[in-house]
This record gives sequence, structure tokens and C-alpha cells, in this order.
Amino acid sequence: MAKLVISRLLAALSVLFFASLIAFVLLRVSPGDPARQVLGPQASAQAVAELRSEMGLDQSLPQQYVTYVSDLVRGDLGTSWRTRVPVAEELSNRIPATIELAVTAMLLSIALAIPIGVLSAGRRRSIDRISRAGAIIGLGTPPFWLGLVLILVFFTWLGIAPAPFGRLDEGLAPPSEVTGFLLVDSLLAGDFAVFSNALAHLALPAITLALPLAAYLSRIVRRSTIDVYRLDYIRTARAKGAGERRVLFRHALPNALLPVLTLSTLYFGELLAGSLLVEAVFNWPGIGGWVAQSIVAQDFAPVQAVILMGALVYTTLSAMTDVLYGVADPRIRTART
Amino acid sequence: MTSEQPERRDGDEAAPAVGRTLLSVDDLRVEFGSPQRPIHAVRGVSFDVRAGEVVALVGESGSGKTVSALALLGLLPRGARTTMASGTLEGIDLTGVGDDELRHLRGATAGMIFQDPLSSLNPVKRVGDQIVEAIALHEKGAGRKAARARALELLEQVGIPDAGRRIDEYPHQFSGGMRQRAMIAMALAAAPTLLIADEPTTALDVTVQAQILELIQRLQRDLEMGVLLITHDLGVVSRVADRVIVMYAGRIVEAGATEEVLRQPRHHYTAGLLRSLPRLDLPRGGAPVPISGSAPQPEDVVPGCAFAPRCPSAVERCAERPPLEPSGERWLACWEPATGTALDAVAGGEADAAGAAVVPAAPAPAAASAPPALAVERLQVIYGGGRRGLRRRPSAGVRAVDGVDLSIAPGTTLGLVGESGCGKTTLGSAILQLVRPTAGTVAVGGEQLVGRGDKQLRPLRRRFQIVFQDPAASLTPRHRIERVLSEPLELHGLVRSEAERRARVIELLELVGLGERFADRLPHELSGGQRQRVGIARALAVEPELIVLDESVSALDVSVQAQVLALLERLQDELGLAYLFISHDLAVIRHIADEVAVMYLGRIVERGPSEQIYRAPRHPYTAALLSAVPVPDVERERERERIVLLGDPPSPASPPGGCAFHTRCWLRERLGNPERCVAERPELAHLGGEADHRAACHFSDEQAAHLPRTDAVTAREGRAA
Repeated sequence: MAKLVISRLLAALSVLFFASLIAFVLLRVSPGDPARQVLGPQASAQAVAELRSEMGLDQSLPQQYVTYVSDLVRGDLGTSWRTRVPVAEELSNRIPATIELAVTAMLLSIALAIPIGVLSAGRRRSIDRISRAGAIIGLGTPPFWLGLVLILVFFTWLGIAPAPFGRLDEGLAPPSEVTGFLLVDSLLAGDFAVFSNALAHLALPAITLALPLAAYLSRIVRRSTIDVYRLDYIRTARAKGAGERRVLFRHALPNALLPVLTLSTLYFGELLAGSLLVEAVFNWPGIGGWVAQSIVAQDFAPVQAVILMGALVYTTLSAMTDVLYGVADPRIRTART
Repeated sequence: MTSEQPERRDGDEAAPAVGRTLLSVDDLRVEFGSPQRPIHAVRGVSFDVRAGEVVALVGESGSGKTVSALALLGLLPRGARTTMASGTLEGIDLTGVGDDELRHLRGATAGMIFQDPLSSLNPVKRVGDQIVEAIALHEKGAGRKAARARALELLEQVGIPDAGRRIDEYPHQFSGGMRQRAMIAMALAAAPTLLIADEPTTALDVTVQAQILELIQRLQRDLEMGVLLITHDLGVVSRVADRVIVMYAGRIVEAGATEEVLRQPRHHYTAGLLRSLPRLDLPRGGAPVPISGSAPQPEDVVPGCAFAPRCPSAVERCAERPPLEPSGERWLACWEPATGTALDAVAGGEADAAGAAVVPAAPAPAAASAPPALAVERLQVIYGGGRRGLRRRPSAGVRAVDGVDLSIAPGTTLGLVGESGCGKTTLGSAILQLVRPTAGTVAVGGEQLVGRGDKQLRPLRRRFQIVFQDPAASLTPRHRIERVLSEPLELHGLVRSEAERRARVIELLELVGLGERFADRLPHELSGGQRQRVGIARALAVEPELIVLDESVSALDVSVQAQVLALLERLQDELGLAYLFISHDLAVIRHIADEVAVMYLGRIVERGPSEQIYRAPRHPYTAALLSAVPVPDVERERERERIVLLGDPPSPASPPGGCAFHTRCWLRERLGNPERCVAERPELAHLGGEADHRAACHFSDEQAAHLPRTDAVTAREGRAA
């Protein structure tokens, strides 16, 4: 077990190293001048050159990288050139919003995908046809466009969704911060008005993120359910006299959902990538919108920090999946001990 | 199809233990596919099973035997259409039964076990929980605790050692035999009166098969169950079945008391099946006689007798379907029944075959100077050995092959037998350098293979080839046969022009008994036997000296298996090939091999001329293997005193010390468990005498005195002589 943990850690460290390197190099070789971006088109060439040297951009790439890494090791993620706010501070303010959105979207997409997948694996062809058409549309639709359509329908036309700005209505005071997740904090404070308002704000962006993934996942669940139903132990369960409901819930699903678990890492990465645009569309005060603006402004520090964080989340999740897989599948659990 | 009258069979009331009718079915038919182009899996089958009897449903793949049983319990996949004139299970009418009632019949009235116990058990649920579920489904009142206690009792009843611990393990932690025992426990959970066993021992090793058959028989007697046994193995039938029903192409062709049917088959299919079986209980030399051609496909329309195209005694009338009619205790669907006994049939076959196949006498002694086709010395394959992990701790690894010496003379066959996990396939792979040996040497035709790099090895690969077990999986599905056969020719630069290549492909196809017309076909358009012929042709393409046949006929039906065996023998005679024939099937090995090597846990425990090993085995393991194989002769099976080995083969990861076989050895037990077997590993020693017969046993001289008196081979040979 210790061996497994150590090799996992080494792998994670190397992933982080390469991610930081790639982020660093890509940003610096892309065209444009951050100093010019900060000072605007009117600034003099001399002012720009002074700022460049202040930013350290006049040093060679390896030198810059060494500075960056040594700051990083000391826990300094840098400061945004655009807002002058330390990246670490901004990040910790914004992370809860993004995680709240991503987790909600993930749960929503799983909740949609499993029943749809199982039903389309079933006897009725019509259900499968509808879900397949839905999946093709869901997968072919760009998330930001879907977000715009949802805003148009539910906010502009029907007026049942709140305005797509932020996590709460303007006038509402956020609950005292415990976890940073509004849904949790408002419940802890017993403030149901804030809770329902936060939920309403969360609904559209979460749906926007969840639908394409649900479309994808439902097809996987369908395929894997069909495959499991062909296996001998399903026949054994029936031969014992188990009813169809029991065959499905006790015998088929626990096996059919294993591949879904394997894909969940990949899947969460998709969610984070998707949140970039969706947060921008809904003006969600999370990391996605922030990093999107930072990219446009050539604000290096936030972008580097977010890429590094993404890599960290990704490696952690994939390690967690391995552990979870062991819990779900006794063949792996006992092979390890 | 209306011409066939459904029959009711009420005969065979003889056996006293046989009681009331448990299962009765009349004119069962099963179709798959669209109604416009139906696939007839079962074309009108009627039979009964009564309490206290074992009825065997016998047939080759596609005969409809399994489908019939599954159809009765509503276990067929969707899309199957089942009809029957009438059907009852414990007095309940199966024709009008609702889904819920049928569901309750499954398990409570009829328990089922299947061929592959690993895939038939749910991998993510504990064995105990799966049995508890089967109990709880039918005894609603049973508390969790009571059900668990009952499950434990069942596991003990089916002979699971240390059941109290095992009950909480998962299926993958069980050995094959124990899994099948657990399946049986589950099938018995709700105390059914009928047990349906679908090929229950086909996936098991022969020594484990003997245990499971004994268990089924014991439970059947103790619980007075009826058993419907579905199998392709006539040996298994003769060991356990009271009555046998022979199916061919979805219909019953013959039925009756097992002893009668096997001794005196009246239908030519039954007779042909018996004749095509390589047998342990008859003198060697009588080659199995294949049934020519192959069985009709379920989608074919068969107007007359389905067997007529393959039948040696077909007459004009066979274009009309013979009804299944009673004659005394027997039921038969044939216009021109066979006469004589099964042994006559075999003897007749011998006479037929004598012209074509020369009885393989002693192998033609090769010139003394010629190097052996294969010479293996001290070959060792260790998986996962060496220093591993961060702290580089040395690990012993798994000794899959542990110091094996073999040699095969040009133009002869060495049969390698052993149970699953003994390392025989690894040995084959190591010889072919598909797995690199850890130590030892392998020489093909005098050329040393071990230690050569991939590039140096490539030109030598021409000289040794392999034919795999699964002919379907070893052919790329999208490659036409011509391409399959051209590839080795081109890789080794054996043809210079397009015309030459085409000519060689056709020559190869003809060599294996296929014709030019097969060149443009895809693998899925061929039958199993034809695919295996292609596999052989592919191996022959590069004109090798040695072919490794790894279970190459095991996946084939016996009638087709006999065809392929005959082909292999002919090719050996014509081309002077040497074969390493790896198989778990002792009867096949006996038939084809000149020399035999028996493998147990990575080592050869006995080696010698085939004739000697089968007549007088000198290692207790060989004797036990031979004793475990059931033969298709009821009288013989009844008379035999069998050696039944206990337990399963130990894991090769931790073989027992001393003689690896000592944990299961029956001889050691009879000798009063001498300490030497545990302390000292016996060498593979020459036994004296002219032939090179070796055995790795400290007490090989004492075995003869302790062997069961009437064993299959020796007894029959005495009588025949």
C-alpha cells in the first residue's frame, strides 16, 4: 500500500511539474505584450519598457521560470497585473463558487444519465431512439450557446429564472462564510430565503454544464447495462427466481456502473473546462470567468495558478478513483491486499 | 412441419427409485429472429423427467439441448419465441403460466447450474450473500440470520472446506471446483425437486469433474431430486445418467436407457458419435472415425431426416422425416436403424479406417545423426521473480515452468497433458519464444533459440509454428482466407510472384481438405472445423518442422474433432512434421501421441511411450487422471473402482514442498503417508526396461500393487486380447 501511495505521489509531482512548465512557456510565447495591455495604447514606449522590467519580462525565459518556481515553492502564486490583487487571495475567494457549480452539475448529470441510460438499454426501442437523438443534440451543442438559449427562455421570456449575474440577487446579504458554498452556508445559518435564491441562481449554469455530460454519460450507462445483461450471472439471478427489478438493482447496476466510475476523472476535467465559458456567460464569480478574462488580458499569474490547480485536482481525483474502484470491485480490493 | 406427431413417452418404468413425473414437455419449439426468416433452435422436442432419475440431454453444439432447458424456465433472451403443445413442471401448466409464477418456479421448483461457474456468479457480491438471496427469494418469512445459517449448512453439504470463512469470500477467491460447488449450493437453496445442470463440468479439470459428478449424484440420491443433465460428453452420460436423450439439429433422434443406447446405438448419428470419440477403454489403434460434413445450421430448412446428408446408411426414404417412435423401451427416429453394438461400430470403423490411415506404429526411427525436431533442456519460466519494489527485495515469483526436459524426434508426436494451471501453455509459449524463458535451452532442428534477439529469431520462426485453441479468435475477422494464408508467405519471402502466391494458397487449402473456393471467404463464413483447418494451413504455409498444437481440437465438436485429428495425422505422414500436442484431453492424446509427458505444477511428473503410460502409469497423478476420465460404457463405468483426488491443484505461486503432488496423493495415503514425499523432491528417474519411461515418484515401483483392479484401459485390453 505504501508503495502505491509513493508511486502515486511521484506521478502527481511530475504531472504538476510538466503542467507548470507548459503553462509558463505557452503564455510567454503567445504574441502580445502584457505591459502594453496594462498601460493601454496611449502609454509611451519608455513607460512600457519600465513596466516590463518591473514585471521581470526583460529577463530570459529560464531566468523567469526559476523566479516563478522559487516563488511557487514559497507559496507565492504571484499577483494579478490587471487587478493588483494577490492570486492566492482571489483564488480562495473564487474556488467555492466554481466547486459548488461543478459538483451540482456533476450530481445533476449523473442523476439524469443513469435512469436515461438504463431505460434506453431496456426493451422499448422508442425510448432508446429519443435518448439517442437527445444525446446527439446534447453533445453537438456548444455549452455557452446552450447557456444563452436557457437565459433567453427562462429569464427573458418566461421570467422564472433570476438575472444571470452572480450567485445571489443584488439586495441579498450572503450568509456568514463557513465553507464558502452558499447552499451549505445558508442552510447552516437557517436562512432559507438565501438558500432558495442561491439555488435559483445555480440552476441555469448547472443545467448548462450538466446536459452535454449527461448526454455522453447516458450512452455509456446504456452500453454497459446492455453488456452486463448479456452476462451469465444475470441468467443465474433469474434462474434463482429473482424478479426483474431485483436483477436490475442488485445484480446489473452495481456491475454496470463500474465503467462510469472509471470515467469520472475524465469527466470532472470536462466539467472544469466547460465551466470556463459557462461562468463567463452567467457572470459567475468563479474561477472560470476570472481565468477567461485573465487570458484575454495576458495576465500571466492567474492563468498559471489555475492551470496548476487544475492539474492538482485532476491527479487527486484520479488517485481517488483508483481507491473508489477498489471499494466498488472486490476483485481489485482483494488483489491489492 | 405438421407431419411430425408429438409423442408422449411413458416407457421405462423399470427402475424402482423412479417416482412421479416432475417435468413433462410435449412438442417444444423455439425460434429466434424475424418471423419471415426464423432460426429454428428447437424443432419439436418431447420428454419427461421423473423424481429420482438423471436424464441426460446429449448433443453437439447447435443441437438445441441448452435452448430447450432454458426455454422451459423462460430464461431465453428476448426475441426467442417458445411454443409447446403442453408442458408441466410439478403439475403446473407451463403453457399458461404467468411471469410471476414462472419466476417462483425458478429456484423453488427447478434449480439450475451452468457451465462456467466463474461467469455465472456475480463478481461483486459475496458467495454467502448470493446463496442467502436465493433462500430469501422463496422463503419470505426467513430471517437474515436463519438464511445465513442455512447458507452455511448448504456450503458444508456441497463440500466447501472451511465454509464458515469461505461464506464471506467473493467468487474470484474460489477455485473452479469450489465455484461450481457454490453454484450447486445456490441452486439447492430453495430445495427444488428438479435440478437442471447445463454442462456442469465442461469448464472443469478432469479430476475436479469427477468430484462434481460424484457430488451431483450424491445430492440427487439424498434429496430424491430429478436431474436434467445437459452435456456433449458421452463419458459423463455413462457415469451418471439413467436415461439419455440424443438430440440432433433441434430434434430428438434417439432416447432410451443409457446402458442400452450406448451399448447398442440404433440411430446412425448416435453410432457415429460413439465412433468418432477417441476412447480410453478400447485398444489404441482403432482411429476415431469422423462423421463427414457438418450439422445443418438452425436457419436451414430441413425437410427430411436432418442427419441424412452425413449418414453412411441413408436411403431414398430419408428425404422424408422419420417420426420418433417407440420400439420397446427405446425411442428412435430412423427409417433404417443401425444394428449391432457400439463396439461393432467401432470395430467396423477400424476396418474402414485401416485402408486410409496407417495404424501409427512405432515412430519411424530417424537417422541417428539427425537432430531432434525439438530439444528442450532444464527450461524454466518464472513470472514476476527478481528484485522488485523500492527496496529491491528479492521475490521468488511464480515458477510456471520449472526445469523441463523434452525432446521430439522428427515426424513424431509428443503429447503434453495436465490440468489447468499446470504450466503446459506457458511451456508451449516458451518453446516458441513467445514468452522468454528464465533459464534453460530450446533447440529446434539443432538450432538454439534461447538468447537470440527478435531479429535473429525471425528467420528461424519459419521452422516452428503454432495452432491455437480458438479458431475464431485467432483469425482476424476482416481478413479473407487468402490474405490469412498469404501473410506468412510474404513475411518470409517464400513466393516471388503474384501467380506463385495464389497457387501456393490454393495448394495449402487443398492440403487441409478445403478447396480454392474458400480463398475469398471471411472467417465468420466458415464453420469451427473449417476455421481450424485454415489455422493449420497457416501454420503449414512456411513449411515448418515443428508445430505446437495448443488445445487445437478442444473447442471442436467430437465429430469434427475426429476429422481434424485425421487431417493432422495425414499431414504428419505426408510432410514428416513433428507435433507438440498440448491438451487436457487424455483420450485425444492417447490417440495421437507417440510419446506422452504429464505435467503437474510446472514439472514433468511422468514421461514415456504413449502405449506404456496408458497401460501401466507409474506416477500416481497419471493414474488418477486416467481413472478420472469417464468412458462411454455404462458397464465399464459401473465396474470401475475410481481414484478420486481430493481438492484442487495447489496454486503454482506456492507449490507444496517435497513432491508437489503429496497434498493430493492417493498412493501416499495408502502407503501410510511416508515422510519422504514431504521432505524430498523426487527426480524424473528412468524406470528401467527398454523404453525411455520416466516417473518422478519415490514409490513408483509400489504403485502397481495399489492400483484399482479394474481400470478402464487395462480391463478392456485384457478382454479384447
